[in-house]
Parts: sequence; structure tokens; C-alpha cells
Amino acid sequence: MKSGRRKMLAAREDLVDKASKIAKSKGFTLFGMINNLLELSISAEIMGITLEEAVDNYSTIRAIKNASFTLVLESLLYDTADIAYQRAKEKSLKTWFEAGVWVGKHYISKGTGDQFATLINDLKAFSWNAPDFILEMRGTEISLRVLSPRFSDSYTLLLNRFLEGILEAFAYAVTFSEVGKGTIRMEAVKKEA
Amino acid sequence: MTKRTKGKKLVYISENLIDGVAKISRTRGESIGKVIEDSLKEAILVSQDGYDVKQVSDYFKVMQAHRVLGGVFVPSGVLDSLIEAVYPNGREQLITRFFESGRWHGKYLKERFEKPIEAFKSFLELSRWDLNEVEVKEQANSIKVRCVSTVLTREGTELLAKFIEGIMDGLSHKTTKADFMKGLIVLESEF
Repeated sequence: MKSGRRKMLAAREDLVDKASKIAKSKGFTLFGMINNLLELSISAEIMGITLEEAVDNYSTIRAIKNASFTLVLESLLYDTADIAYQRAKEKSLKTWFEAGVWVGKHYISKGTGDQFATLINDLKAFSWNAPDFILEMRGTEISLRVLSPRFSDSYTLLLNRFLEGILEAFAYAVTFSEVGKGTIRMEAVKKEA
Repeated sequence: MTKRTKGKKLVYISENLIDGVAKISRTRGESIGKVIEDSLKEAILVSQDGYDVKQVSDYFKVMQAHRVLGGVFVPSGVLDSLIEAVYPNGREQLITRFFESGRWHGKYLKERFEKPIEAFKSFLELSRWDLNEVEVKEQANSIKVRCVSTVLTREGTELLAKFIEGIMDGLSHKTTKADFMKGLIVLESEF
């Protein structure tokens, strides 16, 4: 914050009291906590999302972090994916497939509930480079579509294998697959136990 | 800290945030007081989920920066294998790319954050999850950075060192010392 000047605003007493207790338990002042929160609200508003959604994003980041994802520059990812694919096609496809299986199993091991939908939702939330990431579920059948004009040929193929790895971990058999530069369409059905 | 009126208490808000809050209240068609109360409610919910507001806020800012700068998520094992495949013949190219990427990040941090060095530390701590330890010491006119990782490969360490050198360059610092070995980076720079 650039200046230390403050203004006073009125808020519901019960909320102020509760928030004050929380701030104290976390070692903050109420002023510090409210201002952190308002800063977050303003940043979220600029991005066109609500404070609640910002908090949801935070939960997703933690999940993605625990699933061993890391951040890399998009253009660098495509360049290295292209080079790696040209140099060692089979090995690269295998690595991405195995990474998908690992991520899938990681989510499965996290507990009960629909971990597949949770994983896909987490991926959707942070696939900033894929504006169109759609999963449809109908009973035991799923349909997945990922579109991005920015994907390179090689990256699309590798991402497709990664997604196949996830499906494998969740015991889905791919029944239809169409992959082209920047386009992945896939249909799968749950394997019988 | 707070003053009482009928069923309400007065809370202090930093003057710098008033315009932003007023904008939110106009967009939503709600009073400023309602916006403040909603924020307090959210603070209570966040706390009940076991998070703290400062942490959420810091993560949000760092992720926003990554998004603006073209960051994407990839499984770390996949990234290691990509780097391993490209390194033998493309080391120089990768080093240049990581340095340039670092420069962009440094320039962004300088423009976007009031305390860019603190922001840089948060940036490493909150988004380089492969680092066990991040130390950024700011002295009179120099900065010392130390990063420790038990999982980084030698190639990954070198590229991260170049990325940090790039950030320093973007922050208008001149790197005076850059030592690295697998999993350890020590870098010093001056204004």
C-alpha cells in the first residue's frame, strides 16, 4: 500500500467481531486482514471473477501443486515439446502417457467421490492455454474436447497421450479419438470391473 | 481499531483501496458497506477452510502474474524429460530462452509491484514448488539469492539460475556472482 492514510467504514458488528477474532488467531491486525482481503477482491474483480472464485482457484492451485505440476513458459513448452518429439517420438509419447497415469492415480488415491471429475475440473481451471476444455459425462461414457489455436502439432499429440494416461488410470477405454493440430476429441467408456 | 455505532462497527480501510472498493460497489450496484461485509464473510469462510487470507491473496497475485506472462502448468516429470531431450544439442538456446523469460518476469515485477524484490521472493516460493528453500536477502545496494532443491536436476538447476539472472536483469540489477551445482543456486547482484 502506498500511503498509510486510513478511512473508517461501517460494517455489521457480528461480522467485524468474528473477523477480528480470526485475525488475532492468525497473528494479524483486523486492519491488515481486511485490507489483504479487499486487495484480493479488487484484483479478482479486475480479472472478472468474484472473491469466492479466487478462493476456489487457490484450492485448485494447491491440488495442482500436490499433483506435481510445475509452471513453464507456454512458448518454451511448445518449442521443447516439438524438439523432444522429433528426436525421440516413442519415448516422449510414453513419458506423457505415464505422467497422465501418475496424475490419475494420484487423484484416485486422494479419496472417495468423483475424483475423475475433480481432476478434469482442476485441469480445466488451469489450462490457461486451452480456452475450450470440455468434459461431458453420460453414465459410464465420457466425451472430452480440448481446443486451442496455440497448440503446436507435437504438443497436441503429447497432450493427447497425457489425457489417455489419465483415462487409463481411471479405467476408461478410448472408443473414439481424433487428434489434429490444436484439436483433441475423445470418447471413452468405463471398463467393466 | 474499531468504533461502534448502532449494530455496526467502524473499521479502518486503507485510503488506497477506497477507489477500488467503490468501483466494485458501482459494478455490483451495492453499497460500499455491503462490499466490506461480503469481504468479511469471505474471510470467515476462508478461515473455516483452514486457509489464511494473506496466503490466498499472495497466491492469487503470483498466479495472475504467471498468467499474464504466458505461464502454463505441466507435470514436472514431463518437463524434466523435455529438457533432458533438448539439452544435448539445444543447451545454449534453452539458456537464452530461460534468461529472456526471466527478464520479462523481472520487468513485470518491477512495473507491477511496489516492492519488487519481496514480490520476486514470493514468486519463487509460491510457484517453484520444487524448491525446498528460498532466501532473498536485500542489502544496501545488493541482493543475495539462495535456492535449495532436493529434486532439481543439474539441467533444471542451470536453467533456473539463468531464469533468476534474467529476473535480476529485468529488475535493473547486474549479476556479480552466479554459482550453481545440482540443486543449489547462489546468486548475487548489484543495482
